[in-house]
Amino acid sequence: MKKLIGHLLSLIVGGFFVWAGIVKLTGPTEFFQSILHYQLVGEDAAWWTAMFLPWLEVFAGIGLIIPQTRSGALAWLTLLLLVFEASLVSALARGLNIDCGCLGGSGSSVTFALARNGFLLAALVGIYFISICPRKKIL
Amino acid sequence: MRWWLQAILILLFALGGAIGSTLLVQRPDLPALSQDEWLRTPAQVAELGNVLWIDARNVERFEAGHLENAVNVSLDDWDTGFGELISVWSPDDTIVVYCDGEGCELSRETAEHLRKDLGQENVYWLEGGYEAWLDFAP
Repeated sequence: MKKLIGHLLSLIVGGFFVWAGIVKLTGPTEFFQSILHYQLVGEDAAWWTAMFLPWLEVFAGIGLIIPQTRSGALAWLTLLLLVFEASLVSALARGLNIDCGCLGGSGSSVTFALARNGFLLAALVGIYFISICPRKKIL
Repeated sequence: MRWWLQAILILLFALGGAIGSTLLVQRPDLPALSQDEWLRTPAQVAELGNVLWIDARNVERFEAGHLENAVNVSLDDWDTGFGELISVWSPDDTIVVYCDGEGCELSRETAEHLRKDLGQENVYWLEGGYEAWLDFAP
């Protein structure tokens, strides 16, 4: 039963990241603009981030769904979410009233994105304890 | 496979995709990005007649300070703000929407919504937002 919950959680969270990555890949210019709105990096860094980040989301999402690559994907997704949360908190602290850019130009507010990422982080912690931690104990 | 090897494998796939994207997608120029037929600079707004200001920020920020006679129409509470707007708006007015600073997307989105809901074309958004107008006309 625990194993099934682990697979199901990984499918949901991994699927979400695959979807989020594909949405960004279909609108790279909008995503580039969203990154610039955070005013955290320059134009060049924003462009390379816009080119690289969606692919990382897609492959880390797929990696999370596949049990054999789940640990590595979990590490990437946790790092990504922590970076996203830090960027969102920084935008809030500076009073930037911007679209989060998490799903292209979806219109999600920064506060909504913060809460959603919190749930995703909690789900990743759940996946770690359900799918990865028990395996380590056996080994 | 060890977790760090899995992570490197994912990174390599992502780098491959990113290289493909950079080859296929042409990088847009920044001026082209900011070109928007509904965008107006403070100087352009100053030349418009019958300007009705719309503050697209949330109610807390609106109450902390806003332009004179501005109506607060926030996407978070559209019906209330839109109702208030209708009570003061006339079709001859030119609506200019503002929010906070350069990075604020809310004014553009709010202007889009207003053009649809009012059925009017003369709804613009302010480049640089609230701060830019204060700098221009303190």
